[in-house]
Amino acid sequence: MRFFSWTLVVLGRAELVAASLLVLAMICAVSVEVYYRYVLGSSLYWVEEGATIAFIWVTFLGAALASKANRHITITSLGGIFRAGRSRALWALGGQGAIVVVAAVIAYHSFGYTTLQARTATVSLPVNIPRSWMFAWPLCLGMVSIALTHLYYFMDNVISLFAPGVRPAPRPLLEI
Amino acid sequence: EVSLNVATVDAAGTLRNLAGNRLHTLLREQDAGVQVRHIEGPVLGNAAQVRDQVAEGSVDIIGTDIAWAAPYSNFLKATSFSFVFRDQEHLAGVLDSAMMAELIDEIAAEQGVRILGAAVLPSRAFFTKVTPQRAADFEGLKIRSPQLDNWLESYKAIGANPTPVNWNEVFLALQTGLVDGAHGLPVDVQPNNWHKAAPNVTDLEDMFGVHVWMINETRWSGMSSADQATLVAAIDEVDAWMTATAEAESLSTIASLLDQGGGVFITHNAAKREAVAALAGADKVVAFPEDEREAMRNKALAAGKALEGQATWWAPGVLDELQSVR
Amino acid sequence: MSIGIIFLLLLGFVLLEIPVGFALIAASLVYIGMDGVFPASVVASRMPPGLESFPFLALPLFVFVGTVLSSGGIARRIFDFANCMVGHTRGGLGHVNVLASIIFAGMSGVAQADAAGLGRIEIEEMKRAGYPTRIATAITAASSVIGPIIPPSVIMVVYAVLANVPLSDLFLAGIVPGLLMGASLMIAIAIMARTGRIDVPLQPRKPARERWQAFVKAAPALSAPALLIAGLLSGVATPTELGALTAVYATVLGFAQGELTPRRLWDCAVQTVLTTGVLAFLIAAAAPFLWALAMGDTVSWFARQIEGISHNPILFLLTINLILLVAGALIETTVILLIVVPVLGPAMVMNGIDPIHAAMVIIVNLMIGALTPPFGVLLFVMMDITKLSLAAMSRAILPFYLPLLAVLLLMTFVPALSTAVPAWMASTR
Ligand code: NA
Ligand code: NA
Repeated sequence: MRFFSWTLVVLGRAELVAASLLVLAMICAVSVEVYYRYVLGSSLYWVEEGATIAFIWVTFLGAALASKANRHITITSLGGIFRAGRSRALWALGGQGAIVVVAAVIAYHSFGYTTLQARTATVSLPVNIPRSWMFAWPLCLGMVSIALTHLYYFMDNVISLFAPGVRPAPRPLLEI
Repeated sequence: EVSLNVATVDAAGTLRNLAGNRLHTLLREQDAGVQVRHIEGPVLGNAAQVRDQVAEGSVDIIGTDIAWAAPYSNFLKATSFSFVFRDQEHLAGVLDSAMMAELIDEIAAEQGVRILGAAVLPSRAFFTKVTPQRAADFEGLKIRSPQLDNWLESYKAIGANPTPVNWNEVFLALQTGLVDGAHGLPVDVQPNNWHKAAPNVTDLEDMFGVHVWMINETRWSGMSSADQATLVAAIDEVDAWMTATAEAESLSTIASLLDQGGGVFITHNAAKREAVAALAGADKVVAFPEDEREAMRNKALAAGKALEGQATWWAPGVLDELQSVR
Repeated sequence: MSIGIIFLLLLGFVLLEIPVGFALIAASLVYIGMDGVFPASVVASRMPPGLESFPFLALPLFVFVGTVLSSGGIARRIFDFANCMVGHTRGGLGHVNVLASIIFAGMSGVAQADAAGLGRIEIEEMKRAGYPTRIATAITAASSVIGPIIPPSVIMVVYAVLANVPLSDLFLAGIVPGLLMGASLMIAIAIMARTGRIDVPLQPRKPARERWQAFVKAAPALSAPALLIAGLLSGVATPTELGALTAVYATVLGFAQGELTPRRLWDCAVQTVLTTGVLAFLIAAAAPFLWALAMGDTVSWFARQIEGISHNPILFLLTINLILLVAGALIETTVILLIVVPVLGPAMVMNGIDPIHAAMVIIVNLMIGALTPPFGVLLFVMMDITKLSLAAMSRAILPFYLPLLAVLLLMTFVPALSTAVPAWMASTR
């Protein structure tokens, strides 16, 4: 369990650094494009496509990160029915398990799309990137990371069921 | 009974949208073994996305511009390059050629998408604030481009400065001067109001619209040959209707665009000038010199030749091969 | 199979406390699996293309701007300036609170940035001046909804892409309703001050010198909205590009004022990644859900259901207002936007309502929903800052629903409030 959480935290830090750099790069690229068009009078037409790819990566890396920081929007209105305790923890357990399954299924299917999407490529970038690197791969990698994260929460929850002082909500892996 | 999902992406009331509805009605009236359900508008995504859905089999048929099939074949890219075709008949000849039939089988085998019939539409026109009179007037002109590399290269080939802008934002981009011009079929332009920001319409017959239907190959080969024949016959009928309607409406659409936008119609084609002058008035029509158009054409073909053999572009000799079709 | 089942599935998964994004994916997976017409893998293939749109890039860009405004000390300067202008009036800091939100709205695109960043300063200052916490909190929450109505606006970005309307027109359409909302809140505050419901000693008028200094310090931030609107009108850039330019402007300003450090800038990027990971992920997760709805012909089904009331556009809009206000109180704003707009938008346009007018009515509606218990995001942000209970806060906000709803009604009946600015802009060239 210790090693599992350590691995996920390291993975989360890597996602955080990569995605933050992409955000800064996106801002710079789009600004430079405006400068080129307005001041220099010629357009950098690859920026639109390049920034879109960066955005898609930021989204799925960010989603994986949001799982590790426990930030995804959850509606907890019904949870109030259960008093804190075993039944509440079991309810939460079901939710965590479902996320693991959903993320794993999507990861599996998106991997299946990598070959199909690789048939067409980006058009305006200086190098032609297969469309799978725009669509299937960021989704697949993000979902693997999410599945692992919620598997950890699930296991942590199971352990807490048998420990004194039940805590139903996952303790976030990362405090950001 | 076979039921096929057909998507046309364009907004309600556009030519493509009406064609989709027509295909549906036609097969229903025939009570044929093949029926289609027409999914209207961009609800399933943009053209490139729906094309991918056809390839993966979650949508059966897309009706769209041939440009979106171009990424499947380097050869096909050449058919969406500016000034490749002498005129509409030349283009129709290429689409009917044995070369094309072979290509369609090739794409179906490699990409899982089969092109079923094509409708030749009128030529695209440039919508600008300026009134171009010479080839040099296109030098440095900022022209809106879709995200397709043959389009980008086509505009560069005539010396223009292609600027990618979302289709929905073109009117605003024209109005605010983000771009100096945009290129499109007059019938598609009307609902988008380009002419109100860029009133002058220049038709050099540099690119023609081609509408194609693309079907998922697995779905196609799973149909009986009788059903295949029924579908193709219906599609051919709709295509003929599209070609005729677009042809009939193109010039009157241009006339009404001139009327609303206050611009002029510029073309090298004397017959078109005469027809539009009859509808909109002789003062609304300006000739584009034939030799200047020829200069642009040669420039574009030279640029196209320079691309031949490069990675992701068509093979050497393809442009000559296309020119030889009659 | 009935398309209604997919909504039941979604509800079920949400109640299981699965985050909304995963619940949307799960509902689509189960529905498409049960339906059997399409392979379940469609869900995976539809998600990333849902994000492939240049206008969507404005989302992370304007979120980034919001974080920089707070870390770079710009929110503070905006507050000080507003305080020097209207702080001495009756109900002074209440007016300051609203005015600061209006100015802040011209650079920020998310209400949460207003509520959390600027809001912290506003509540602190109001408490120091003797305002009860609940009133300070209520005014802060109510005025923060102006943020996404005056451009720039993230919610408008999402709407524009989903409903296929030009983003620039939407941005321009928000100016008048946003100012009206500010004005109506100020009127409410003035009435409360006169009737003694807000009873705080008057502040002395600040000396001219101090006012001038506050103006100079806030001038770069004050000019930003003007620059943004000028940028939209003159066509220097598209809304997405303006997002990047605003981000650069805010960053340079933060560094020039000496309050932004590389470390803080990095934190801004990190917060942007997290917010994008939540909001844009929701958009991606909704894509297969919407695809299933489209395949099930939901739009025409919905259009048939509302046929009876659709002949009267005003009655139609009022009904939609009612539905959305109730939905907004129960469900998160972005989620409603994602599920409702693709169905409602086309139905409204089919009924002859101007798409920009329809958009503004829906957006203002959703923002008021974000302020309504039990599920109001802005209330949660405020609870986090002030530690007030949901019940206490809801009671305190009660008087401020009136001016906001009045503006919503006015907008419903007078389309020109939304459409005049974009139309004027279209006619000027
Ligand atoms: Na704003
Ligand atoms: Na405020």
